[in-house]
Amino acid sequence: MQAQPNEALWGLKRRVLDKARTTPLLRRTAQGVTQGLTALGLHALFRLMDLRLRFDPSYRRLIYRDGSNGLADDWQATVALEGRDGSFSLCAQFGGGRVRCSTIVPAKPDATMSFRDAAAARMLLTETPNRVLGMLLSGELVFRGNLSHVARLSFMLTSLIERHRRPEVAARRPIVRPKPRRSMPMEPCDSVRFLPDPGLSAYTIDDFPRLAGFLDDYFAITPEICSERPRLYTEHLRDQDRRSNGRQDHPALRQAGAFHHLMSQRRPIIRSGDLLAGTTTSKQVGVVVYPQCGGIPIWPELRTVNQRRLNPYRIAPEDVAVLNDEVFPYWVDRNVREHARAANDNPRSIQLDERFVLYFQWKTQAVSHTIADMPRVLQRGLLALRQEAQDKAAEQSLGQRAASFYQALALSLDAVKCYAARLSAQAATDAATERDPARRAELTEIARICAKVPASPAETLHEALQAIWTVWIGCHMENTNAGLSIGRLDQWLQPYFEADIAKLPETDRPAYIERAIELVGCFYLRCTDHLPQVADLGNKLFGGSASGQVITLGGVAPDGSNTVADMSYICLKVTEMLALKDPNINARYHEGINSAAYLQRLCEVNYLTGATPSIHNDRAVIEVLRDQGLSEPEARDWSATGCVEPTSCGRHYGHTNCMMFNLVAPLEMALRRGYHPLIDEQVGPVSADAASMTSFEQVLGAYFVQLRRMIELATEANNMLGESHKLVRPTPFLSALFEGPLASGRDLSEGGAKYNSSGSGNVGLVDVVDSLVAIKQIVFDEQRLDLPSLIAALDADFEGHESLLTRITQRVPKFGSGHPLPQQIASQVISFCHEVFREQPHYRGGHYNSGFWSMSNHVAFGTLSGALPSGRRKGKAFTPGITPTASRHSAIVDHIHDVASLDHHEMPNNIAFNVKVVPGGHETASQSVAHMSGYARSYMQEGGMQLQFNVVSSQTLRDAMANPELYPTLLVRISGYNAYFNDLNDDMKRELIERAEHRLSD
Amino acid sequence: MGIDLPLIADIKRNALDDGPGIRTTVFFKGCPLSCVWCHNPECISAAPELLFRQARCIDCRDCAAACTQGAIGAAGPSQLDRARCKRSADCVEACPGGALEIVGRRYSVDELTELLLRDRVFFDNSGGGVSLSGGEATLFSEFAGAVAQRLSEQSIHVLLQTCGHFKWERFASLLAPHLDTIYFDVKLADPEEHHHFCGRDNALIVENLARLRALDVEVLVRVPLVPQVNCERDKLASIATLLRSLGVDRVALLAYNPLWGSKLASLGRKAGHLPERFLDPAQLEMARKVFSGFSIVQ
Repeated sequence: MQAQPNEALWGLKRRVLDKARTTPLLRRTAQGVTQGLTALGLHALFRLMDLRLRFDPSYRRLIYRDGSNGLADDWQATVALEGRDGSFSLCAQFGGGRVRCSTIVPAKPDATMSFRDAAAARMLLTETPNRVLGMLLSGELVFRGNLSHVARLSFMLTSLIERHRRPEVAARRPIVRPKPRRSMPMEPCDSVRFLPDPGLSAYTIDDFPRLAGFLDDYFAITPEICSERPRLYTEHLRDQDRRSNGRQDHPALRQAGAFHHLMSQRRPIIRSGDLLAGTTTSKQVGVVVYPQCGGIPIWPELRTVNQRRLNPYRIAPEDVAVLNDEVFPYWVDRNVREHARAANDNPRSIQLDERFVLYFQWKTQAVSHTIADMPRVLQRGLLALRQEAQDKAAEQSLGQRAASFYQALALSLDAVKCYAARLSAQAATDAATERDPARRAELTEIARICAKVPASPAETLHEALQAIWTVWIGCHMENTNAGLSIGRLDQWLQPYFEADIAKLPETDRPAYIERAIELVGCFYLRCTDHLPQVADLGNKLFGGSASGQVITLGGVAPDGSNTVADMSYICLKVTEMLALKDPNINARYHEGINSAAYLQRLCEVNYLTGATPSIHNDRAVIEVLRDQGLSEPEARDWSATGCVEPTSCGRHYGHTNCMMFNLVAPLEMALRRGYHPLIDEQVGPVSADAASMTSFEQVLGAYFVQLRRMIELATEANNMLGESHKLVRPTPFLSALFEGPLASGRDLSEGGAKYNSSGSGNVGLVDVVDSLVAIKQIVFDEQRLDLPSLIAALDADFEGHESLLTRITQRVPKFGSGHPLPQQIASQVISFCHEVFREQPHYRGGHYNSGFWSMSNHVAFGTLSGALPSGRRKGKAFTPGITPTASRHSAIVDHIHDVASLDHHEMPNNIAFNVKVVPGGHETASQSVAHMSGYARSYMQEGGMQLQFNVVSSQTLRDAMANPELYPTLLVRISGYNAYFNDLNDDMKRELIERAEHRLSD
Repeated sequence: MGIDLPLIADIKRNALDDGPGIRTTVFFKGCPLSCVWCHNPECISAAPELLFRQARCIDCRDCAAACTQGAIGAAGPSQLDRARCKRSADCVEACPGGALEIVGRRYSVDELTELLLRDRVFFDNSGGGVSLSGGEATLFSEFAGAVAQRLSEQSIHVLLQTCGHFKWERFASLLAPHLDTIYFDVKLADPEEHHHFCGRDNALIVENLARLRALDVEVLVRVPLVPQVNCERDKLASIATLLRSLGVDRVALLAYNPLWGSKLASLGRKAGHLPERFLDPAQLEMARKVFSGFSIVQ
């Protein structure tokens, strides 16, 4: 690390103060000195920054340009810095390419960095800005006001202390893939028509050199931030602002204009050797930047993101310049978070989101989490859809607003058609210079296909996959790559597969089947060409997650027939061979209609990949969709979305991950009359004092008081952000691929879809249940100590209370032990969540669905929470999703019974039940798979909704933590998504290791 | 019904190595043999026993305070005076860590059957069922038979693991009709050695194995391979010869593992002189060769 300018000064000061602290009489004086020196140091810092701004043109141009060479810019902002303990306050005023520091703080600065005390503020002088941002999690630092200004200030600080660029993180080394294992052969089953062996046991990845090569590239390439999308988007909007002279277009039309500009200007790229044309970014593996939502948090890191330890991104100097100079300044006030803040006078509910421990509002990043109607594209083509929108726009009876909306739909459909045409032209150009005749033929075919689809209907499997991929790129150019899901790929592709193969003589069919595997493999690997932008803080919150592009296989067709067919098994083969973290593969199993052999095959793929697919009980999910008013055929047409959440494809706009919601925080607050220990404020209503509680029911009552208030605040924030989405970020392209907007004349963001909902992922249910059971048994039933004494033990993190801690962990029944009490309390909490979420108003019509999965927020929320009555120590991860905690008492069969017994009607946003199984050494794979299949089927017969196996031992995970280089491809299931173990932060790794593991043999 | 209720030492659910599929195994307490390598030493005596697991003890001495018999002194439960212990369970209740436990609990036929049926969905979906083990379930043929009958009536696969030392008539009339499969252990061929290592000779065992062939039940003979007991080539050869003479053509070889050692200590008994290592793979290979004429089942 670079020596900081003030390091010498602070070294001296530390020595003086250490001396002073040893003398009690001098302590007060020492505190005064600390405070004085902190203020002095901060003044000096801004003074230094100002000097640099005045004398170093390259530094000044980061915030000030007169427009002679490109865009004009003059950052005007007032950022206040204060100690919450009143120790100091000062203000930095930017403007005219200068910064002035003063002790006079205006009444309403643009942003405030509020430090807990002078000692915390000193971190600004001695730590990297990135570490300073890390203090946000611990509550030592709190931001108020417009966060974009703070982000820009952080970037200026990084640029100030950086004298020269440090070397980049070494490129990833090529990896050695583990030797592939073979799957078992199968007899034809389900609706399979052409595969003689649905297990496709003859094939491994080694039979597909094209796919193997792409896979090796994927692991060897460090992702790179791409500025193409935000640059083109912003460029258009800025020009538009200039031209319109303050006239306000329909937000969707404005958006469609920018989208059209982007799609017709971005580079059409055909990856060398690929069968599908088009890329999500201009980089090999690109990080997509969406400045309207969530882009700005990367601003402070633009110069350091290539050096961070976890999930570093490459970034070219020209991309840094584009983002800092052209893109981010435009969005300082215009992004969804700040728009919502300004529109609602900086509401408490959004401020609390920025404290990270109560809930995480995803609408600041994305809505996505939905599924487009791809069959509409495949069967009719974009031209027909565009015509339909144009016809609507031309209807005389429409008002200007509705007409503008239909024009927006037509314009966005045209944008993607333009992009496809440019891909076709590029393929033809590439073909002209290609020397290898085989590749030339492929490129010529790609040129033909892109000229045809998605503009016109697809007729072959190759055309269908290209059409989906081109549209998919369009979807991601408009919508954040976070949870946007693909849908029922197997079912939608089956007709094209059948049409292709039926034309062939018997002898040519095996080669065609191979080709189909290869095409689907290319599609999966295309989906890996981009990653969501995650700021370093996000590595803590949802580390290692990918974009969450869910493909859902199997289940039943809208008419109730068995939809598991040839393409289902081809997709499963590709899933098995590639073992990718994303696309996130989910499988529906419909008892009584899908075959037992199919379920066994799902388990086999899970066994061979270690972590995918996740398995759903089709009957249960269809029931919860019926509860929401969908017809039987609509409910049957569901697909998992983002992680595991069900929505009906192409008609149900259900922002299924609108928030991650911490169920434990209200419990911490209920024990402290609504005060939250980390936030260090009265957050909830003042509820009963622990000392006055004489029954368990009172504790539960206080919990529900706090929980209700948190649900109200969290949904209020979501509604406010949702209102801003309507204005800042409507989605005309996605709207054009949906049932509803064409009829209603409203964008999806405005509630134009046929069905509307939002969903929460509630985190920490099991921790809450186990805690409540412990309180009931230890405090009220056995009366071993009173509630205040228990809280005192929690405040001490059980230090000095070992006997109590042992009794709680060993003698109090846990959820997942088969004991009726935890099961009953779990049901109570689930019912309460379901009812209260349902009661909340929803900004675009529809309702809130409550679910129990956690992504990786069980780790993040856990690290921010104190010790719990369940015996969980301070800072430890919560349990993932709805998975019972590890305990020596619990058998997998009890875990399964207890989770399956919960009423799925009250968990409409689904659950994530992780089951970590360890295959026995002497066991053959087929026995392990048979056992897994036995568990899965039993779980579903008992009414369980979803489960996901991690097939790995804690021992292997420990070894992987110690020797990451030996496990580059180790895939693990977090809670709803998959990740490579090496991409996880240490807390997440430990959580995975400590999860309950169940042996597949004794 | 007036059936004597035996003590059950443990009910192990999700048992994957006690027969086909996912099973629940019932460990009866009480055994006519006392094999020196017994992996379930807590199942040999038919009386309740106090178990102390050192690893779970946090040295809080709450047990000493709770004990009314003076069996646990200031030195703590590791110095438990078993002669004074009346198995009142006061200490078990007091122990925060669950380090102390009374092994042996009585269930009625109804209770036990209901408990076993809880996991039937797993049995049905995996081809599993219930295994009766121990100890020796045949010591309690009437009770075991009643439970097995209930399970059979529900179409649940019932398997017996036996040492083979039982009274034929009671077994054949009360228990055998309700069994689907029997795992029958044969440990040594020589009667004197059998007496030496297992506490009784094997005459009854050999006789019972011969008789079983007449019954309509699947029998799998299992031979545990225990170093220093039966792993020498000649001993294995004589077992093979014995089995041949009884018309047995299929065996399962069970490799010795030393994981039972800590159980003995928790019962306050000293471990014997058996190795603390897993069976040498070379010895397993040699055993396979000796039994090469048999089809060997894992």
